[in-house]
Amino acid sequence: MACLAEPAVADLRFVAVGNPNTGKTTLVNALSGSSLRIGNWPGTTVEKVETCFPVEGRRACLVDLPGSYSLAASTAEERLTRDELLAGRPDAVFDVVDASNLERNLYLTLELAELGHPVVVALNLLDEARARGLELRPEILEERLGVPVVATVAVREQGMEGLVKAALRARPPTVRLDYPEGIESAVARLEPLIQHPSHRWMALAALAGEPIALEEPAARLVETLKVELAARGIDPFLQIAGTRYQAAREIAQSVQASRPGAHRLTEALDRWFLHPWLGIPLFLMGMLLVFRFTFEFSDPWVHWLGRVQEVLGGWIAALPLPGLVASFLADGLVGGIGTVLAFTPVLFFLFLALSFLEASGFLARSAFLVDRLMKAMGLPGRAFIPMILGFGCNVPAISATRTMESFSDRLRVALAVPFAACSARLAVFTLFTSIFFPRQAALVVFGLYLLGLLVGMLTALALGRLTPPSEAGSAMELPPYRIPTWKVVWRQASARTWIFIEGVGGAILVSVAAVWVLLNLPPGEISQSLYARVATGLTWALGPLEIHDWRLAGALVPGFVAKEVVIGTLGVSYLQSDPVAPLGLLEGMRGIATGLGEALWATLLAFPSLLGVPGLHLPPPEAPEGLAAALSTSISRSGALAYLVFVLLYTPCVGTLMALRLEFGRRWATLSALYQLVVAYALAFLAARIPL
Amino acid sequence: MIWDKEAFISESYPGLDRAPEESALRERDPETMRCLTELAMNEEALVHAVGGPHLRARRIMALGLSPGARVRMVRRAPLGDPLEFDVSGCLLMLRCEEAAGIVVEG
Repeated sequence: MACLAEPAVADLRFVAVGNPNTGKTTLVNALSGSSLRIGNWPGTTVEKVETCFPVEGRRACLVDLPGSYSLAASTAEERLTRDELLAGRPDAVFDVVDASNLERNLYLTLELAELGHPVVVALNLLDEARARGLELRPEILEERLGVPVVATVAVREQGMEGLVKAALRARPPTVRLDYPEGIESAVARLEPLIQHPSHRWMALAALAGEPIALEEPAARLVETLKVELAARGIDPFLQIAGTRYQAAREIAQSVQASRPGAHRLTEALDRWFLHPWLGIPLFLMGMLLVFRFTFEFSDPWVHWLGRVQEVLGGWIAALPLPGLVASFLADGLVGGIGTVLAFTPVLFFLFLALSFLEASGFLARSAFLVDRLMKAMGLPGRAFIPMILGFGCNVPAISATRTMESFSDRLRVALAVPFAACSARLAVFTLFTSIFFPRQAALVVFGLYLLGLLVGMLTALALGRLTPPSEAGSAMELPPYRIPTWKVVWRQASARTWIFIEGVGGAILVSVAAVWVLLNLPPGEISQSLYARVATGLTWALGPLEIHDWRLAGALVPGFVAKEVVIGTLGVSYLQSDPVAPLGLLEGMRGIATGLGEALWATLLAFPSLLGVPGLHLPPPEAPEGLAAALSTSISRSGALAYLVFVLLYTPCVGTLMALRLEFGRRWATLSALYQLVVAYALAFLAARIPL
Repeated sequence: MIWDKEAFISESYPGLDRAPEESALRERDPETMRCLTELAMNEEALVHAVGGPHLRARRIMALGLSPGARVRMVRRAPLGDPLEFDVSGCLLMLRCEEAAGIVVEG
């Protein structure tokens, strides 16, 4: 009966829209206080944020939509914004307008006017506009548009109260554009046939060639009208857009008392960061810094989480449980949770760095600098960052493709990323090279990295040939540099990390549990287990790769869960492992606590190491005693090379696969896994033919 | 009207594959009209027409580079491409091939 107690007054529904880089997210944060809720709409891959706060005794829910330059949607994010505005009838649309960029921002405002929703304009970044010597007369804007206009400085939470009050008296804009005669008469004929509150905007969009789904009589009329207009030499798209731009420019000029001067900080920083000679070296140093920041800072936390996992395993071993149950709890369940958690520090610190780069304006600059290189692969400049990040960890690299606009470009990068040799694969490389190629270890590892890079680049290139190039082109804004607030960066990073855990945690747990079942059932010797049977079957398939030992073939199966597991499994199957030592409650707690202290200390120590000179050091192989000797007799050198090539190229880990599924859907994740298996098999087959 | 009608008459609508930049360039007086790529560093001009495939033209115009806008060449990327432009106080990057489709005067 709880539902009857709900208040009778319906919630207010607000929507926030605006051009990218207008401080919209900051404004939404300022309005909502701390009650931000992030939702990830599956399949759409773009984020839509909803937050609720009280307004005069009622509950107002504000949806923050992705930034758009216009309602003519050319990117996935812009499509989401348009669909949301067409589907719902919000009580007010917050149109966030960059005060120093009125001309362009008002284009969207004029489109909103044609939608017919109640609008309130937030004239944001007013401080920045003033700093650039721009004087504005908001009252004129209010008069011209016929909607409330509120001056705001969202970063300092100025004007928020006025904005909410104005939203309650928001009304549909009275401004009405007059299009050239040919367009107006076509709209007049089309409009009555469209059964949608926003019929004027819909009619104009349909004439301009937007993919708008119209009912039958209207859809046929659109085709007729287009032919008629074309016969008169009228291009509806150019005339409609032209009228709007002209109107926006005219209104902007009437509101501005002076022309904006240059953005000083941006001019000063760009002089260095986009310098003809220094630009690229500075950018590479910056990339290295992001890389080091992510991995140096997350490393202590990954270790600490591993320690927590050990302690939990020890506690379980201390419980009076049957061996098989204890083993399942310790290795299957806690191990699975540990695998999920091991990703989170890396993701969090990477998202922290990316959010900072995005909000400050550096990300756009990096695209400007390396655009020429990416163009050679048929990709936009923004593709560079995910590709580089893949060498650290594929999972955040795939999430980082979000910063790109075109779906097909994102997909191509995401399918190429898994071939980048991540740090987990390095562990396998170092062990095998130290046994089979002790003299040429560095050379072999370097060659493997290069091979991964090459396969990834060829993948992106080949896919580019198959899919048509992105029509939208690569033109983009280089936003002015701004110092982002910690609050915004922190929130965005934690929200994105949480979306990942929520989205992939379950699947990783299941696959870890499945591997446990294979290894431990039926109980007893590992050579009698299901795992051994599967592995023996695999040697038949892997024979052409010169991999004949079932233990080597089998280790590739748990390697699908995570590459770190390959060595552990080899250790177990060659040498048998000792059971987890039971641990006392206090002893374990102390372990966790000291680990936490050490992790905090190590994080602090990571700050100076960011400034240090980076060196390419191969970590010493972490392998159980005696494994090297056992391995060296079970495979030839050619076979070992084929094994390494296979490990480099086949499905990196279930986390990567789940990230692909989260971003692009199940179908693409499956296809990607199959593609990697085929490529890995083919190239490993060739590697096995190299006489060594 | 500031924007140019004649330059954009296309035979087949919606014309995703048309290339009006060429016809626009050919028909124009070479004395006053140039493409955006021909601007010298820091030189300012007025956008006359935006060409290229439909979607791309739409995107470029959405970014503020619409007929009638004032545009200034700011710099060239270290590797030669893309170019940076200042459009009434807002910085944009365009690849050379995209800028080549934009006709400017003055």
